[in-house]
Amino acid sequence: MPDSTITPTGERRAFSAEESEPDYRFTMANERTFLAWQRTALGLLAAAVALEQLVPEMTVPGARRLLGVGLAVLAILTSGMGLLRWQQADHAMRRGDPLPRHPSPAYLAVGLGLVGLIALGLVILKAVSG
Amino acid sequence: MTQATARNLSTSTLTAERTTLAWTRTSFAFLANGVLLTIKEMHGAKGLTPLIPAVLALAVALGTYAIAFKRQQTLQQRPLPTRITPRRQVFIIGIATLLLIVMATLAQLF
Repeated sequence: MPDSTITPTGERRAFSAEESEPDYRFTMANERTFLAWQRTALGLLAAAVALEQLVPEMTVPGARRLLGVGLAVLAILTSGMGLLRWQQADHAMRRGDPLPRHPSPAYLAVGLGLVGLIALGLVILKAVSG
Repeated sequence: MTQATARNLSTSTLTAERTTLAWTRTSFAFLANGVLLTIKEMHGAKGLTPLIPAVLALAVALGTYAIAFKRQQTLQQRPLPTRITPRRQVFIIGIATLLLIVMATLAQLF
């Protein structure tokens, strides 16, 4: 089966243009990608909980809560995105379509960068105010 | 057995192994969150209600581990079953993660 290694739907694609069971490698790769998204979301949740628990209250009142809620919102978006991505990829693979393009990791990087910047700003503020 | 078949067989074994390990790792991620949430609530003991997110996380960790176990048994079969798409499992874990994050956040806010 030299051709089926290239198309996501495998060799059965030649027989019908409708939905068909994808190659097992693509099914499992999609599954692992989904799980990686969920683990990323769980890591963000752990960060949010640890922040609230381990970090002392900052100079700006409510700043810690803001960062914690920001991380939790990122976690929800990441988890939801993982679920959505899995479904889209599964659908595309069954129809033999190309995988949908997505700016998905970009928003996570921007969000985490923002959280980092706010944290840095708070640290500098604390250093300046003594 | 030709060399190509042998290679295909070992490729599918390794693919299945990576997939099972991904499930196990996810189970540990839930477990870690459960422990963290339990530790967090041990400081201010105010009844059992604040422990709900922690209990949920630990229960989902167990569930994920059970899925990992069943998945290993499914993916071990040779030849592989034609339908191996884990639709139900993916939805259960996806919804559980969302629910856990929402509940832990709400518990943190109030």
